[in-house]
Amino acid sequence: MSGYIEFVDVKKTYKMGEVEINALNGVNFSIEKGEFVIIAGPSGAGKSTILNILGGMDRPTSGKVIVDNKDISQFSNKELITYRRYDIGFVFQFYNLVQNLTARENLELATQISKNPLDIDKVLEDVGLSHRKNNFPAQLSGGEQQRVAIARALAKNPKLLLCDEPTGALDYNTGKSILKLLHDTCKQKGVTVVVITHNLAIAPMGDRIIRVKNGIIESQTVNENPVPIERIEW
Amino acid sequence: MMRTALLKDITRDIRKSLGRFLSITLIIALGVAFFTGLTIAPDDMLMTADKYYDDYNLMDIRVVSTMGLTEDDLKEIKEIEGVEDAEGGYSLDVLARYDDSEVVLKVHNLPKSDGINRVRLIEGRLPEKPNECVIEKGMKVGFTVPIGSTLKLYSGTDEDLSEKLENTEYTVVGMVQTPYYVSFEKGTSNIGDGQIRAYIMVPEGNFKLDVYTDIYVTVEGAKEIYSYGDSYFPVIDKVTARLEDLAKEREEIRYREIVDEATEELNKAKEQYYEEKAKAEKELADALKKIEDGKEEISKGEKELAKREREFQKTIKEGKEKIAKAEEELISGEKQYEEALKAFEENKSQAIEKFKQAEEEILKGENAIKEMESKVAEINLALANPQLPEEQKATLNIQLETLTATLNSTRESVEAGRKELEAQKLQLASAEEELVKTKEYLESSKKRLEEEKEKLLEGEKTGLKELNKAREELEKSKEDLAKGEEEYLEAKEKAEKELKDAWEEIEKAERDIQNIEKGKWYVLDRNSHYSFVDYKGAADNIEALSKVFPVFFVLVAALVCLTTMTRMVDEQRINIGTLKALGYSKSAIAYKYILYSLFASLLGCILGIAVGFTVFPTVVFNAYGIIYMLPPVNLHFDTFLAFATSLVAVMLTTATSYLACSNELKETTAALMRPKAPKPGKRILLEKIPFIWNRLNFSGKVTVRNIFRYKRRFFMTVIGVAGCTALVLAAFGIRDSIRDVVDIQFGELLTYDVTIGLDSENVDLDDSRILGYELISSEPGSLNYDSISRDVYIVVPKDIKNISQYIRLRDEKTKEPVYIQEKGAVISRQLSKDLNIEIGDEVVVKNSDDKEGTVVVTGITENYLFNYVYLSPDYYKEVFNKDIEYNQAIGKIKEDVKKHEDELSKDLLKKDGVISINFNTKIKDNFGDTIHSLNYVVMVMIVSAGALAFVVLYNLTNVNISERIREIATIKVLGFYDNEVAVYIYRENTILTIVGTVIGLVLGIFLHRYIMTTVEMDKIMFGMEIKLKSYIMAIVLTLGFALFVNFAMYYKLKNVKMVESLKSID
Repeated sequence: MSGYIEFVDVKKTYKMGEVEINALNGVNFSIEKGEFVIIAGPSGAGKSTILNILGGMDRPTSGKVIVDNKDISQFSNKELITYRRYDIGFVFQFYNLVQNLTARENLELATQISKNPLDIDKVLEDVGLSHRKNNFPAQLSGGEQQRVAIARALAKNPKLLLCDEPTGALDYNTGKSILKLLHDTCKQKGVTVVVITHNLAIAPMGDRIIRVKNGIIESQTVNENPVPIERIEW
Repeated sequence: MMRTALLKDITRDIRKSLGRFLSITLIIALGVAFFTGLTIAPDDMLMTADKYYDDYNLMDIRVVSTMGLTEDDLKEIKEIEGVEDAEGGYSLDVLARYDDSEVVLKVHNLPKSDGINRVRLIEGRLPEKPNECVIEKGMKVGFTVPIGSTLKLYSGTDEDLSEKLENTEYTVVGMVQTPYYVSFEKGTSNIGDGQIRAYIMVPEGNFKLDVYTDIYVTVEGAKEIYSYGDSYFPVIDKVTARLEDLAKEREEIRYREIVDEATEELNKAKEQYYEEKAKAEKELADALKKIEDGKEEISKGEKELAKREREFQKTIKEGKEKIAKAEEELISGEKQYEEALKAFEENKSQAIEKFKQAEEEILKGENAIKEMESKVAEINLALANPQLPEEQKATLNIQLETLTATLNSTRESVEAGRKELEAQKLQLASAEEELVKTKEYLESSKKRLEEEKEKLLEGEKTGLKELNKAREELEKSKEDLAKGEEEYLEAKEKAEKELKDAWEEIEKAERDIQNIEKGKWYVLDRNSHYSFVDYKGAADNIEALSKVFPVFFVLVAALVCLTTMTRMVDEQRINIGTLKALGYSKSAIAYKYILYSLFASLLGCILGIAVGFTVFPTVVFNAYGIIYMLPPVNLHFDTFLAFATSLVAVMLTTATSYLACSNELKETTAALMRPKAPKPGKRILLEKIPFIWNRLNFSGKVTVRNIFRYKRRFFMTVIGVAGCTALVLAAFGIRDSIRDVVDIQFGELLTYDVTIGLDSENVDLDDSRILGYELISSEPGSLNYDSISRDVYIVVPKDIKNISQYIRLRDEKTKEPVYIQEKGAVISRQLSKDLNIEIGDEVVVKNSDDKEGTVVVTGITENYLFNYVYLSPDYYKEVFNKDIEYNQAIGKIKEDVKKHEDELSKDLLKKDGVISINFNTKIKDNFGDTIHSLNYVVMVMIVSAGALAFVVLYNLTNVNISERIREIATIKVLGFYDNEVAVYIYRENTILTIVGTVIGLVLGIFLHRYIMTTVEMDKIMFGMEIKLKSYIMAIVLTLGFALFVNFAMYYKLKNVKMVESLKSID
């Protein structure tokens, strides 16, 4: 059965001069639409690589990546950009907001290129930042910045929301609330959310848990009963 | 230990960010090249020239005299203290015919190969035979003649050239150059079209002049001194002063010589005069005597004629009388004859009767005789018969006797009768004869008389004829004499007149001798030598430029270095933090960056000096080489310049590096190891103006905020671009300005085509090719105001109203016409600007006779070339107390004649009173060449401007991208297409570039103005207007450079790796 997202024997090799680094050594997994997926693994396992390929920011050296019945591994550069533009929302560990724009304007930056964006103010309200929408990132706390980043990703109205260690730079409580936000978005809006983390403790909150080690999928488990994040402690 | 690792770090850094390293190197190289190049170029130019002068022994001083210089003068000069060598030279202006053209050449004597002003053989060989010559190898567009061709030379005046030169045809055997003529401009002449096109040199022996036209002097110790330096002229001046002292002496001596010579000649002339006078007088006297004699002869002749006439008449009269008498006699004779004849006739008829009777009787007698005879015969016969009887014989004998007796008596009587008859017949006959004779005689007498009559008549006729002839002849002689007298009188008159004239001339010559002016020596050092000064002017121009440009480059270089190093330091902040954490001191860390920039700038300096000392001087030199004839450039290495410039450049870069470093190093170690807090966004001023702010679309807002956020980048871009635009605009502007000089001066201000030099006012210049002309007086003089003086031309037009058709005087700014007032002077703009003269000021003007006068300035006219003072004839007369001598006609020629100017020139010069022709087209052409050579300079400027723009913009864009790499990666992740990303970044660049361009245009105008004012010479004013085309070019070129940079950077943008750029600091 083919899933919404399929990785078929994906390999990724980086060449740095004479040195070859095998980031992915044949990755296989699939993800259903609307799932909240956690990709976990130790540092250097290849999690970010998977996310990058999935997000259209990188290409696999070999293998197939099928997203919504399209093999994105065969996409040209332009097609990848289009893919990123309309179908993907990305959240980084270090927010990567444009410093020169206010929170609201950061969203505007994203929505002006989206096909069917959500209303900016509504999204900001959803993430709880209406009162800060005219502040520059430098005037926001880490959590607020990350929420803006998420809002930016959400406002694009993507099919897929990819988050690379979204809580890496945040404290425990802020991190939790961010995860809750992501989860709510997933369930309420029906957006497929993929979260990378090296914190295995939060793995239970996902519908599917993919463990990555040494460039291959160690295990892929579907969680029948995900645990709400409020109840997870670490 | 530290050193090696550090060094490795530096070298790796260099290799990794070669672009950055090279951009510092390049901008330093550019600035250094420019500065050193432009600084050393004039030095190279002048030093090359100086070496040329030294190698070929150019004179230090040139002495000329209005009276020429003698061998003695030369000897004296040689003995002056400080003079190393002196040589006399001959020079002559000639017309030369080659192909179809006739040009004016200057003929010099070929200098000795070890003498002064030697020549440099370029092609062919030097003359060996007297009729060979060498010609200048000059500008390509000048007068060139291939080796082997023959030049025919003419004097161009009424004199025959062979009086001055031995040979008038020369074969060109070689081409030369000489330090005497470095500049292409060789001066004017008063033969041919007035423009000396080239020079030729011929062996000295060809010159038949008694005096030298020039004496060239070299000064001891001068060669070692750099002639364009400060210590040269003080040395020369000493000798010049001594020469001037000598000059006074020699002038006097020469004056004496000339006066003596002239006086001798005059005396000779006087002698001749007296001789001729005496001769003439004698001849006249002889002639007069002859006339007098003639007169006498004629009167004698007349007398004789009269006498002859009288005699003739007498003779004729006598003759006639004689004839009349003879006629009478004849008539009486005839009468007598008639009578006699009548009587005779009567007699005759009687006689004839008688004769008849007689004859009858005779006949009877004869018959009787016959009978008797027969009887006798019978008798005889019978007698004869021997048988006859005797009786009978006796009878017969008696008979015979009787018969014979009778016969005899008959015979006798017959005989007697016959005799009587005969006698009577005879008598008759004789009487008849006599009558006949008488008749004959009468006839003959008559005939004779007739003859005599005829003879007389004829004689009379002849006599009359002869008398008439004689009379005629006499009359003729009289006439001849009268004519002769007339002629004599005429001749006398003529002779008297001629003698009078001759005497007048002698008197005039005497006066002239009195008026002989003392010749004046001119002791001219190199400052009066056109070539020398001209070339210096060219070098000075470049020097002026060298002061301006480097400033730009220094500024830009500083900025570029600062930003680059700041960027570098920023990028490496984590490294720095780490090093600091490891315990390296600040200075040790800073050391790395200082070394980095040191290497970069040193390399840049080396590169810059290499290019600056070689390329720039060579380009500049060769650009000028089109119009200056010099050997190839000698490049010099100015150690001081190289060192000083390098020092400054290196210090600049290291200082900026240090600045960049120290900013960074101020931060705490921990902070360094964290990523740099991005610069906080801020509301900009514009946001407070909702009117504008709300109108901007989103991208617009982003762009505007970005522009104002990064102020340093803002300034750098604007300055760099502005600098580039300013340079390009100034470069084109320079070209425009110089073109203006020609275009405006000769197109709008001086609208005449030709200047004709005259030696008097009354010259017939009618020629269908000349549309019209005006007479002017033009003389060189000077204007003095506030103790500064400038050379001017004093121009006085005959018709101050109509002259505006040929010389347009107008206000420079308003273009309103300026008129020459009856009482007031119009001066050219440059004078007013230079000496601060305004309308209403009084200035002192000195004319060519060195007379000074004060004039009031009533007008200032736009003018670009040379300086002029325009006066009305009345005002001139009032001020200088001198009548105007109009010595020029300025005119316009028909359009289609412009191609045949040489022909018109030749024809005009044939006219009496025309001494020179100058066409404005020639002046325009000369300037055209100067402009052409400046094109190279302009090109260099533009290329440098381009390089500047490129480096700055490249650097900035690089920095821009580097600084915002996260931002760029983010928006790429967001799904911005490549061109959208480019636009996102470039929009700012573009706006900044446009702002920079606009500012640059303004700056460029000032820069241009500054350059033109600096480069201005006191004789040329440059137009300040920059043409629209130049503005457009400046804009186009700048934007072009910017676009080029953008294009080059596009690929960099495209290849920003999102993943790496957004790497977490994990």
